[in-house]
Amino acid sequence: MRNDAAAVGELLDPVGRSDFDGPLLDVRDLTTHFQTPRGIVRAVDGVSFTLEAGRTLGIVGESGSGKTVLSRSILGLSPRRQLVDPQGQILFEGRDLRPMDEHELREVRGRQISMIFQDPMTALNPVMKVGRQIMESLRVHFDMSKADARERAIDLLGQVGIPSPGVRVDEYPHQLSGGMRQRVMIAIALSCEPKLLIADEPTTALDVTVQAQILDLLGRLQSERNMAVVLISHDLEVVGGRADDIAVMYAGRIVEMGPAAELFKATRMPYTDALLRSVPNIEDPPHTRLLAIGGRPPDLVSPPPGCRFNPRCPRAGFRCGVQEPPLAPDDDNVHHIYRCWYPVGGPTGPEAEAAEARPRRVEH
Amino acid sequence: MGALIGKKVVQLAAVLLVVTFFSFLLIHLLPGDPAATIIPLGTDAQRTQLRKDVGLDKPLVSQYTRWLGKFVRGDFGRYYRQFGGEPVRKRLSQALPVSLQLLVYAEVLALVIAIPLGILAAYRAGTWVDRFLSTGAFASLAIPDFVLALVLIFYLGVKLKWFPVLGYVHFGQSPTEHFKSMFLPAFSLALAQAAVYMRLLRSDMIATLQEDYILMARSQGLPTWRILLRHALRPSSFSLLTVAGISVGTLIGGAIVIEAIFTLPGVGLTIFQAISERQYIAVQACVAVIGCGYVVVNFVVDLLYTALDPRVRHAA
Ligand SMILES: Nc1ncnc2c1ncn2[C@@H]1O[C@H](COP(=O)(O)OP(=O)(O)O)[C@@H](O)[C@H]1O
Ligand code: SF4
Ligand SMILES: [Mg+2]
Repeated sequence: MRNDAAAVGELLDPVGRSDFDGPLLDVRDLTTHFQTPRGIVRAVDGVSFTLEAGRTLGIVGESGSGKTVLSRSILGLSPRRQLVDPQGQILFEGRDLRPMDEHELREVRGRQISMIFQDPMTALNPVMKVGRQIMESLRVHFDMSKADARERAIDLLGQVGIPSPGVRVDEYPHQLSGGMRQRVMIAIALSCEPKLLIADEPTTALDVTVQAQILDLLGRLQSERNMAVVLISHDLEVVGGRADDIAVMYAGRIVEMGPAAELFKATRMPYTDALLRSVPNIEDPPHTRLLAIGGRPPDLVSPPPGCRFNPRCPRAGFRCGVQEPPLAPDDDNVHHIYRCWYPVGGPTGPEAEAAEARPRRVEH
Repeated sequence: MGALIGKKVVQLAAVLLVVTFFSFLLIHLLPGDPAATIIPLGTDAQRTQLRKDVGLDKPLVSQYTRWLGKFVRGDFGRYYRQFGGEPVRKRLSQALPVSLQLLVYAEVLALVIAIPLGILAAYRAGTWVDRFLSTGAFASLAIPDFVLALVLIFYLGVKLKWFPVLGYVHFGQSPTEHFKSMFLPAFSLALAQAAVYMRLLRSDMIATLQEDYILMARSQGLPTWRILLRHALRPSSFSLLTVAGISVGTLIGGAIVIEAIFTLPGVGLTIFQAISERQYIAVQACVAVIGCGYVVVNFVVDLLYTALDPRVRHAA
């Protein structure tokens, strides 16, 4: 197999700036609100994080917590007509993607930042040969000839571990298994050597046995290319061993974020704790997990006052329903931040409030 | 794939038998003695000749097989006139190309109008562009084709003199004049059809544009036109293609009237004249030809549909 990273490296366009030394992606106070007949849905509400080149950020949260909206907002793929007053900055190599129009974004999409989607059956065009679907990006971004693009598509299919790529290139998605389709999607996403890959639940629709293979493949391709990855999942376990940092989302906000090991070792936010202690659900279809706590994420049209997690939180005190906790660093590690008045490891809300209300013993 | 086509060919043969049988029956649905109806003023000798030609004295089934045998060999019977009559085949062989041209032009024109507008309406769904196109579509559906034909004749033909108002020019004679002579009839037939196609493509395309694979294409930075034409059009065009095929029937019906209005010497005009002259043998042959044409067109559309959708192709 040829070394394609080198071959394509020659094609790198001037948009790719190698002299920039800040974080690859710096998202600041991102807000994505949708206008709906029911009211304004606060799907992403003031999210900030940074991601360095070559690193992996895991984003975890129950279904409906805003992970998909967040990831699509980064590439400006949210339905524009529904957006209400989009706020924040998305600095990619220092350039803000937020105010860009479709035309400007097109140079970034696929070329600098790529996405892979949850369901490889619906995310591949059913009436287009997989080879042509890979060739499309190459032809648009690199202006490749048909023959060159096809050759490169076959190469890419080989790189993502598809056997006899020269044959598969002319097949349609329905002729491939679920795992193979996901590999094709990865080949499409990586065709133009992006610096950042956003993988939104890349294995949720796949069999458990295939899951690990796909995640391993992603890991390998990532380190070969020194590519940064945002790995999104509702399953903390999927993200666990693979992310450098983890952000936990709840109701459109980041509620806890920090280095993966730290987050597992010194979990602070009761919601993260609940995610950690969830168990695989045997009865329902694969990939659903039972949380240790009941209830569902709140309606994002009218989230509860105070801490958004308080209606479900086993540690909630009176204060939690009134005042929203800030996203503040942990005493032991400034890189570990969380939103909680009564974090795991200390007294629960009722305990702490009772202690406060009790008159102090006066020392004589 | 091969087995599928084989099955469809058998179906086709069965349907053709039914269609020809009912066309054949036409002459027996006439009240009274067909010979007297067709030749009201002729001599008894002529009527006897007719009965002998058609075999009216034989049982129905053997009449049919005899008629069918002649029909497939291209013997469509003849006209019965006071002083002899020409074979129907001679008239039909001149009329058929004209009608086919009219149908093809009308269909192509309808698609040429409908596809870009349908894509545009879907892409701009919910905006004033979409509402404007939808209103236009409903308006053109509300106008009967013959009324449109008369309006076009009056304004573009008589007043502006851009197009000839009647008659037919052979392509070989003058291509420009040929297309000029066919434009108004084809357009009159096509407009309502275009409205139907546009609405259909619009709604299928709107559904396609919601698909994940379109989002995927967008996330790869492909230009809008490329997404619309290369990624969204084909998966959105299955019902359009099917309806375009089925609509050939509607077009054939419309063409009879349009040919009569523009005096285009096609099958429609031939039937029209044959009915008014009570030449039911000729009517019978024309109806059978049109019926078979209709069935064969739908057969071809069905095959095309299979070729267009790889999921169907491989399921076979
Ligand atoms: N276009 C939209 N219009 C209105 N609400 C939306 C839209 N897209 C997503 N939402 C809402 O935003 C919330 C977050 O959704 P999503 O990002 O898909 O969650 P996740 O990916 O974490 O499961 C959900 O309540 C969803 O209904
Ligand atoms: S702030 Fe209160 S309600 Fe929110 S997570 Fe912490 S303890 Fe629970
Ligand atoms: Mg999601």
